[in-house]
Amino acid sequence: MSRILLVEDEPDEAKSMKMVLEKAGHTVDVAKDGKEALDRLGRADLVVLDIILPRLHGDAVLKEMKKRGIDKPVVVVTAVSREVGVEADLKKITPGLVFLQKPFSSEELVGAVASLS
Amino acid sequence: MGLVVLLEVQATGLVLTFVVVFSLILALIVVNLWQRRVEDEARAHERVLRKALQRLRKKEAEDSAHAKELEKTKEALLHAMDDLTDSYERLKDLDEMKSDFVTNVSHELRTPLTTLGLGFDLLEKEKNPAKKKEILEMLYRNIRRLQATVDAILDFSVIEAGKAVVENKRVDLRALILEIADGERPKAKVKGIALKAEVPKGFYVRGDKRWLTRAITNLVGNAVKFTDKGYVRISAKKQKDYILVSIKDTGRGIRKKDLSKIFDKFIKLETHVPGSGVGLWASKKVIEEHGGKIWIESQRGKGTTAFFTLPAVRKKK
Repeated sequence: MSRILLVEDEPDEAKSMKMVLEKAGHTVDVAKDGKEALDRLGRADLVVLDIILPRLHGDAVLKEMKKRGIDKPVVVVTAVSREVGVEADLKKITPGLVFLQKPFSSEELVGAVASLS
Repeated sequence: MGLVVLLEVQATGLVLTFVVVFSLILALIVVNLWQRRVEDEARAHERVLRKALQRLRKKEAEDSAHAKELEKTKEALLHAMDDLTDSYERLKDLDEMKSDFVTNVSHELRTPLTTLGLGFDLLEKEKNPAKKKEILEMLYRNIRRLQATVDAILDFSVIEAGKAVVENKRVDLRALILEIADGERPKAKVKGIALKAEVPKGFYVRGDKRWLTRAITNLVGNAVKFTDKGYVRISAKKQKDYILVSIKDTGRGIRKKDLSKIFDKFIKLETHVPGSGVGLWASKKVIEEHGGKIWIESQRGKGTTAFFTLPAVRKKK
């Protein structure tokens, strides 16, 4: 089971995702913005990352991870519509990420994490 | 013989004189004729020249009229082009704003839906009553958030069509504001800030209670949303024939450059904060349709105060 860093600024979304992931047997640490995420990356096996975040957006977090040579599996969870083309842009930075568009089900979230663990 | 010679000489003299005189007359006639011909020719030339000049002047006049016409047409075209450019820019802005609205709204719909989906899954599996209650509260919060977004979308189209104010009844502004404050207080409590409402009795206005509630709730909701410590205070006073209401907060404030566009349609100054981006625009429309005014004063880092006025009515006539 993985130690997950969940980066999500919406309190209820963070809470519900944390509960679902914990029920699936993972341990979950929550960061509320991009800067906090970068500070806490070290302890995590896997990152679940929202894109529109205060202080530092998710794409900037991915770029910074790449710059620092941190190669950890990433599940992107976003309410930004897939049609905007954000998935392709993010995969240019981190080719191996799994993209989940909100709203998603518990199974989809747990499945995405399992596929990278 | 001498006489003959004399006569001959005289005759010759006469002939000569005659010839000379005749020649002179002939010469005069010829000269005269030639002069006349020259004069005629000159006149003819003059006529031709004059005609040519007239044609030239006419053409010049025509050309100048034509040039003026051309200049006018050019100006009109340039003007039309400016108008077109303006319209195009406005349309482009509106299009961008509309697509921002769609993006905001779709974000606003997806966010609570995520929690609702996950929350119901969790509720189904959860056995602990305290945890169940916690999940239920979370579900209610997100249903309300979803409801607010759906309302904003529906409000938008109604206000846009100018059909927001339907009723024209006497409204107890004090009761309405206290009711709104009660509704928003739980949110303030969660954030650890105080929400105070101080409105004297006897403050009445005329209009549509439902829409006034929406407009004022937006203002109070925004104040709570953007305040992390301190308080939100709603107060009201009479000012001549109007009631002046202020909603003061000790929140993060608004940048000066953002103040001018705060009432624009589809504007969201902070993308990660919930909202459809039409709330303040809707409040302004509703207040103005009730004969009032609305404005905002703010200092970055110190707080914001939203003001609005509504025409006051007496309790009883």
